[in-house]
Amino acid sequence: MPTREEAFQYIADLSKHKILTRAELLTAYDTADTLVPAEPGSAAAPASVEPSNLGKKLGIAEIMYYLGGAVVFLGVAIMLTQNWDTLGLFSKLLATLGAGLAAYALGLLLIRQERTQSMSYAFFLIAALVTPLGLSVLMDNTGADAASAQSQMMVAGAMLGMFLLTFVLLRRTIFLLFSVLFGTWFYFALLGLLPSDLIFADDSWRLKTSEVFAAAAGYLALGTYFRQTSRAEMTNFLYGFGSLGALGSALALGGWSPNQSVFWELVYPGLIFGALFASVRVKNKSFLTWGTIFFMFYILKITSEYFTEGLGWPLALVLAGLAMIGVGYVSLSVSRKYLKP
Amino acid sequence: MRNLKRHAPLFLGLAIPLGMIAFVAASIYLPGLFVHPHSDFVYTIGRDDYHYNYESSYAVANARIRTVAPTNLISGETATPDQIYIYHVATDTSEKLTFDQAQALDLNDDATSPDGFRLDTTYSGGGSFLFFFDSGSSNPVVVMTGHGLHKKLNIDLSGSSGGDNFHRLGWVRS
Repeated sequence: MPTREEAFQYIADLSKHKILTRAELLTAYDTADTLVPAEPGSAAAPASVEPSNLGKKLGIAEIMYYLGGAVVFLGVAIMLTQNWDTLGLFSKLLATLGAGLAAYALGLLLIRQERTQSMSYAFFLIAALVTPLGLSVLMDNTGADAASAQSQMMVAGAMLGMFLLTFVLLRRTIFLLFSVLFGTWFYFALLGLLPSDLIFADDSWRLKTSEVFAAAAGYLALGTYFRQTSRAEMTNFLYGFGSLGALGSALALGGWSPNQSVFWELVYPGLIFGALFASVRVKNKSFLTWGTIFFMFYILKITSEYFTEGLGWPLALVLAGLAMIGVGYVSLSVSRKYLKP
Repeated sequence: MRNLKRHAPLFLGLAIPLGMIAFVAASIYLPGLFVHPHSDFVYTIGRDDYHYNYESSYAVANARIRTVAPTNLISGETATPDQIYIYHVATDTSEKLTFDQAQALDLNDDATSPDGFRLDTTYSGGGSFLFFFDSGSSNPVVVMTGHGLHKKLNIDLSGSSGGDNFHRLGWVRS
């Protein structure tokens, strides 16, 4: 336990290097009683348990690691595509499932040392991309339809189980990130299994868009949860994709004249202002960025739907353009006033 | 209590997607538990795959099935009568009928059954995953709708050239 003087000095250093703002310090002070009781090793354990790289800005080396991982996946995928008919089952499995599991094992070895931790993430990325391919090859060979919702659900479920288990054992946030991604795939595969197109027929796009909205709302809630834990690195990812998904799908649910949904068109400005408010409340730029972009889309959509006939296209465009300039100005002001680090 | 409040966003984040799955599943399967159609129907499945107006070789007039001369024959081609089936709604099974057996049935050729259900053909399945795995094209299916029910019927259309080859001739009057 540090002394008072050490604590003050540490806080002063954090402030000097702009790592901690006054508001964040006050928030941490106010929520201290909710953070302290967390058990060591639990999801809410203090941040010091994990020397994670997820939260910090990527250096050139890390970017090269991840790019390398993605290129390895592309190489395997292109090799399979070009030689699908000539490769035997063993070769296909070796190139996919074998490579994926080997990358996973190598990642587990590398993550033990801080020096090689960043590199291990690249190998986990390879494992996360290539192993599902291998599992699909395996299913395809057993006669199952690898493109069907059942097969995808099984592959996504297996990957989710693998990364969740690894998270429980090693307590690294990277595995939580992969768990969320495979959980999302599992969710959409499970919904694909249900014969909803029989019910919603021509309106099935509306159901699919609602499914995206629900997933995005889930992301936002999870982001709010992780923000108050030591897994705060997850927050930017969850808030970013959550706000993109929620605002994008809600705009799509509004439809287009003459088949528009009045409910969603009326509710949408509320969602936009909610996102702008949330950006200030949780000090996250994702809400502000996506809120601003989708507000501009909304202005264009509403203008073209309702104002082009009365005002005429040219005048409607002038008004829409002015409104967009106004939105951009407000967004910039909010960013400068409330979100500047 | 404080712990519960702190974990509330986590529960919510998991509950929203699960709730969506539950909602879609309930929309599909719940009506089937309470709504039970009871009108059997007679239908044919055309076998040709090159006639694009998909005429049936039977029709219903005065509550009885009768043959009709197809107008879409190619020059020199002889007409092949379609196979007639009766669909038993209680058991979700189809049974082949001869023309004489079908003629003995009293048929109602309204689009809606006496108990308020309709038949539609649609397509389900299909799609591809990554670059290699392809489910092929989607399959035609027959769906019974009405009173909130949307039920895929156990009618095999795989041998025909699509949903347009399915012809409902009439509902069987009990």
